[in-house]
Amino acid sequence: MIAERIEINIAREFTDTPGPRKRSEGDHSGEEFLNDFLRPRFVAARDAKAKLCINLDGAIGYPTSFLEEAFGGLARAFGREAVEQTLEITCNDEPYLEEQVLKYIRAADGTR
Amino acid sequence: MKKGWVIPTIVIVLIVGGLLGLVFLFSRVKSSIQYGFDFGSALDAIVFLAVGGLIEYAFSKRYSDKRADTDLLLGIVGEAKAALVALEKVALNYETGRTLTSKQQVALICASRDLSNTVHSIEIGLRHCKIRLDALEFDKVKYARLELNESLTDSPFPGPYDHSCIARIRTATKAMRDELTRMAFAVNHR
Repeated sequence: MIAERIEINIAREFTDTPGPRKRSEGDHSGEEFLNDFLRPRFVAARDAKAKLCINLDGAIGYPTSFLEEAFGGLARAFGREAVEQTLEITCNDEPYLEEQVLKYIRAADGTR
Repeated sequence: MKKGWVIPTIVIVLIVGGLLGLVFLFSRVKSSIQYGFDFGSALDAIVFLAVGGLIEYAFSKRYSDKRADTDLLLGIVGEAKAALVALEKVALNYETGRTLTSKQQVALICASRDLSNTVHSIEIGLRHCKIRLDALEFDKVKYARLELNESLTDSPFPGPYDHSCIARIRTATKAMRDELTRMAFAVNHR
C-alpha cells in the first residue's frame, strides 16, 4: 500500500532548537536536517507520489540560515517544481513561516 | 413690608406688567391673523425630526465603532513596536563581535518570532475590521519584518558578525520601525 502522506515533525524528530546553516557552524544545522531527514523522506514521498508534510510547530523558532539551507537546498537538488508539488508546510506557532519557506524554495533555482 | 423688599417687588411688578402689556398690544395688532392646527404640517415636522434623529444615531454609532476599531488596531501596532524594541535589545549581542552563545541564540530566535507574530496579529486585526491590506500597503510591513529577520538570522548566524552585517541589521531595524510608524498613521487616517 502506498502512503498518501509522509510526515516530519521537526521539533519531535530532529530538534526544538534549530541551528545554523552548515554542520561546521554548530549543532542541529540546516545541512544536517537536509541530508539526514529531509532528503531521504522527500525521495520516498516523491517515488510514492505522496505528500511530504513538514510540521514546523513545537520548536522555539527557525533561523533563516537553517530554513534556507534545508528547503532552498532541497529545491536546488531536486528542482523547485518537484519540491513545490511534494511538500506541504504547516506552522501554527508562527504563521508567516510557511510563506517564508516557500520563498526560499522559489528563490533557490540557481540563486546560490 | 420690610424696606429691603420694596424695590424688588416694584421691579417684578413692572416687568410682569410690561410683558402683559406687550402680549395685549400684540393681540390687538395681529388680531386679524387666524391661528389653526395643521395636522399635515405637524406630521411633516415629526417625520423630519425622526429621520434627522435616526441619521444622527446611525452616523454617531458608525463613527464610534470606527473609532473603537482604530483604537484596537493602534494597540496591536503598539504591541508590534514593543516586540521590535525587545528584539533590538536582544540583537545588541551582535555588537560584541563574538559568536552568540546558545542562550543568546534562543533569546534572539524567540524575540524574532514574537515580532513575526505581532505583525501577523496586525494582519488579523485589519482583516477583522474589513480593511483592505493593499490600501494600507501592509506588504511593506511584512517585507520589512522578513528583511529584519533575515539580517539577524541568516549567515553568518550565530556570528561573529562583521561591520557590514551589523550595518544591515541596523538599516533593517530602522526600516521596520519606520514601517510600523507609517502603519499607525495609516490606520488612524483611514
